[in-house]
Amino acid sequence: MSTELPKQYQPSEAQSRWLDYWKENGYFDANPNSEKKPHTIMIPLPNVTGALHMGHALNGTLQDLITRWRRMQGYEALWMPGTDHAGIATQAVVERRMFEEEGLTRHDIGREALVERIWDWKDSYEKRILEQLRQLGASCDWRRTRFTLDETCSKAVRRTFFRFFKDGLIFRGKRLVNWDPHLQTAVANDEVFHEEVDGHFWTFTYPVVDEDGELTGDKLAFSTTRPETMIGDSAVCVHPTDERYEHLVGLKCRIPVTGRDIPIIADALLAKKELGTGCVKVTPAHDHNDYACGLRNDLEEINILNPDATINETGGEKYQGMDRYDCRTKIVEDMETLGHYVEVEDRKIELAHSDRSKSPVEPYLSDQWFVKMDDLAGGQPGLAQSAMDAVDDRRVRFFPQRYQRTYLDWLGEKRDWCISRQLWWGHRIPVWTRVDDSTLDGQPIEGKIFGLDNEAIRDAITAKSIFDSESETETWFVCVDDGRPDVEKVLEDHGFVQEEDVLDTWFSSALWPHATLGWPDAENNPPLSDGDAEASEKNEVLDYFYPGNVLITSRDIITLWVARMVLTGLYNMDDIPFGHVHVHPKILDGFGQTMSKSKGNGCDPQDLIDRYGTDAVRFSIASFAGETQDVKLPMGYECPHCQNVVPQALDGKGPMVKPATVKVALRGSSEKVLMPCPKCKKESQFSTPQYDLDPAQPAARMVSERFEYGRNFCNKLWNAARFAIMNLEGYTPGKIEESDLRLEDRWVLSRLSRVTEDVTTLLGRYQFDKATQAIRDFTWNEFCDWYLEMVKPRLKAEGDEKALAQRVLVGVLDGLVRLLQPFTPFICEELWQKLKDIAPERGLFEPRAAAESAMIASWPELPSFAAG
Amino acid sequence: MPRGLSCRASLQDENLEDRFSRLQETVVAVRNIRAVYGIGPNVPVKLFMKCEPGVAEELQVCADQFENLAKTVLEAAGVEIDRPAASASFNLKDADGFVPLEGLVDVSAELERQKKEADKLRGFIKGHSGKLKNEKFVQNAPEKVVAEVRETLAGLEKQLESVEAVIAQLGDG
Ligand SMILES: [Zn+2]
Repeated sequence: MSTELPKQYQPSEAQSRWLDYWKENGYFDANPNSEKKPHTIMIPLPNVTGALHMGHALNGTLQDLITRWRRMQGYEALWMPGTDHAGIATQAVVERRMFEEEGLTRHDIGREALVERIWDWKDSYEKRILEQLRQLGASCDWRRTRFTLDETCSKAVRRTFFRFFKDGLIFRGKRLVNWDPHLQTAVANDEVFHEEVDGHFWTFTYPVVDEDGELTGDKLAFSTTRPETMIGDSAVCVHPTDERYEHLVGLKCRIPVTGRDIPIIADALLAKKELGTGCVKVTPAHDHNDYACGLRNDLEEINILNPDATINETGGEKYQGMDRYDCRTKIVEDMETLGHYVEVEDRKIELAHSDRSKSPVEPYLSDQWFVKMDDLAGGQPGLAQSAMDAVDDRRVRFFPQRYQRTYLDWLGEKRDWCISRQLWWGHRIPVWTRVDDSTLDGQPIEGKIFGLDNEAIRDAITAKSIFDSESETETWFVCVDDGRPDVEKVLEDHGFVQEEDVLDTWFSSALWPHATLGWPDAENNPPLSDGDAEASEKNEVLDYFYPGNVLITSRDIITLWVARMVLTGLYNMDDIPFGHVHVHPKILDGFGQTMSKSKGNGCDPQDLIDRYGTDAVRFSIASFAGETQDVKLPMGYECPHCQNVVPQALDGKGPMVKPATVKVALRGSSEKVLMPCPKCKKESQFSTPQYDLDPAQPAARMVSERFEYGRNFCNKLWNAARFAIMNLEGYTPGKIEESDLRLEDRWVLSRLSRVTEDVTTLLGRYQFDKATQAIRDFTWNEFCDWYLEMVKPRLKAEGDEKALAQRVLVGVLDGLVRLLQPFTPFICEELWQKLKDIAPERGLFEPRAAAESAMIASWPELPSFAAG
Repeated sequence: MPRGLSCRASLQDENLEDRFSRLQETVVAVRNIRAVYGIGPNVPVKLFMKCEPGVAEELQVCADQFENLAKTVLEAAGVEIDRPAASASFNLKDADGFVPLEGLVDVSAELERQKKEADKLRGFIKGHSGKLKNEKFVQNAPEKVVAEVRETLAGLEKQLESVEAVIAQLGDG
């Protein structure tokens, strides 16, 4: 048997060799196993919008580390993989690209064709994302890979919506939303960013009229940044104690450009005496504060915009059809002509923009669907409260604990959840609508529509109606349960039309922890990608793996995702989805900015894997995953001609590709943005998340010094193991007696035992940085620098002395490899297999057959001498 | 994992680890002396340790590792040890170590060399502290440059301190 390792560790060879080996042996698979306790981690599903970046690499490394560790501890460890359809984000990307490349909008090609294109996009990115995860060594059970729009997840979405609807938790309402006129959809508050723009602050007057509609001669002056909203004004508001205006409250004033009269009201929450003239106009349908004021004072809500932000019929002949900004100019002119213009000043305005289209959003009144978050009638805890209780009574615990504040504060607002989106990519809302000009005469809808009181049908639908007294019409909303296309057809045959809107993406990701396990199907295990779901009497997979153990995620989605998973888990499963939530740091660029596609400062983890090796990347990442600090990662691009590293520059300078600069040609053709090297003056293409590089041309890949930490560690470990293995010639297994141990043996065993205990404790608290430090210090400072030096003379000796030294050395190395396996799995497997050749039976202190793979070896538990 | 913890604890030996730290510190100190006096790694050196009897006993147990790791013979250890003439010394928490330099180093030549080195360092220190005393420099030079000068000065002062210690050790021979 050769007792030699190659001089150098070759990460890429080890990676491909062991990935295949692990897969062939099914080591990543997790199945219900009554002999073992389950350990479940659900991946924070990456969006299929684009490839993975450094944040995913960090998130994935930590989940894999915990999964591998728990697997070694004897748990049946499931790491559930999958991706998110990411409604607005993905649709926006595909639409933008389609427009750039073909000049087509979604309206040109229609719903079906657009959705088909997005599926193609999804297929290619999902493949890429899953491959990136595999390259990271992710030990997910790939057979269980889910997608939020797949059949299994769709069933869960349908059933949840149906249950909510039946329980009266879903309602339809007019709400003031952030409207993205470019994408023509509502955007959540969290999908909006504010940016300062140059604007104006105009002051105008409205004339006061008396009860008979005659001008009194009084004028009310007010200021606004959006004069076009005059068309939709419902009142002018003053403070109730403002003596200047007291006598006018209760009268009306006239909007000069439309001639409409509106009331003068007093509202202490909206008007401030000391601010400007103390008088404000109120436009409930186009301003969030005015909307609230409108509700308090029962004001009319007048929507003045079409979905594309042109003025609707409320603008009358003068303004209808104009873009809102053109209308703004026109109204200013008209007010001036009419003698109601006072003055204008320049002003910086914090304007809300849509994250997706980067265009300004408009507060806009529209019909939306909501889930009720508030407590139920009778004070029963509602959805939000139930999720708060789960954290308050510590069924769900945050690590670090400070993040539970974010969760509780947000849920505490109990704001209803707007779940409808005016998109085509997503779960279409399973409600069918029909407007009747008469009521159903009190008949149950089943009887009216289906002509019979069919129990099967009654169970499959739940219906509501709204009577509009003005038009004397009754609007019927019928929600159909999952798996009843027959009922859907009957409804459509009777003139019912399905809602056009789709559900908010978070609606489906909220169900992830139980949907992926096959809920609501209680009879069958969820399907596997290889087609052969084990036959069983009931859904054992759901019973066994739910609830999960820990969710490992970034702080950005504590509210939108974590909170909602807890509340849907409690609602559907009557149990929390996970006991622990670990919130890890964020990765920033070298200047402390978050990495993002739009900044162009992101990094494809594959560049780092190619350069430093997966183990080195994982080890480095684990070393900076602490509890307090975000991680700054200065990056550079290595010139392929002279190996000079060009540092990444601050936003906009140096090699960096912003989406705005990516022209159509760059994506398809071989033409790329080039980076000039300041040293050798040659140019080269360089890594960017914006497009794929031309593989035929040399490219500057990303590098970062911080990953040398992991690479140096791997090299040190490799060299030490190589030395040890070289000295194992003639190894024989045998029992190690306590009395035979030398001082250095006792010392290294004491240290190994202590570091094992420390790492175990630290991983249990998700303190990855400290665990990495502990294991690195032991390996480098104690095992390599001291123990190997001390044991050297005995390895060169003969007879019993050598045999014992070899047995202890093998035992220690074996323990070390197992400790490191969750951190650096590839190099560990490489060493494990080599050790298996040389010392298939080994151990402290009784020799035993070594496990087939380091992955499935047990987590070290060093025995006492007495027990051995 | 209840089985592990209680069992594992018994392999952990704090006292042993403490003893080992002493061994490591001693080896590091001897290696350091070799570096300072230019004694090659294969030239054997002698070591005397002044310490309590219990510590002395523990050091004797490690004697073969002093030999193995630092080519060092532990000549004697105990309370009765006196500082040998012309020896380099080091201090640990619970022991003082001495390495006689006679025969390994030309003591008088080394003393000369170290004195010259000390003078050279004093010259540098004068130059740097002069700069820092110059108000114009401190006020007008970029902050980074001033900080660098301060840092260099601190480094030089530290170097001088060690050289002076060496001179003291060699001089009393
Ligand atoms: Zn170059």
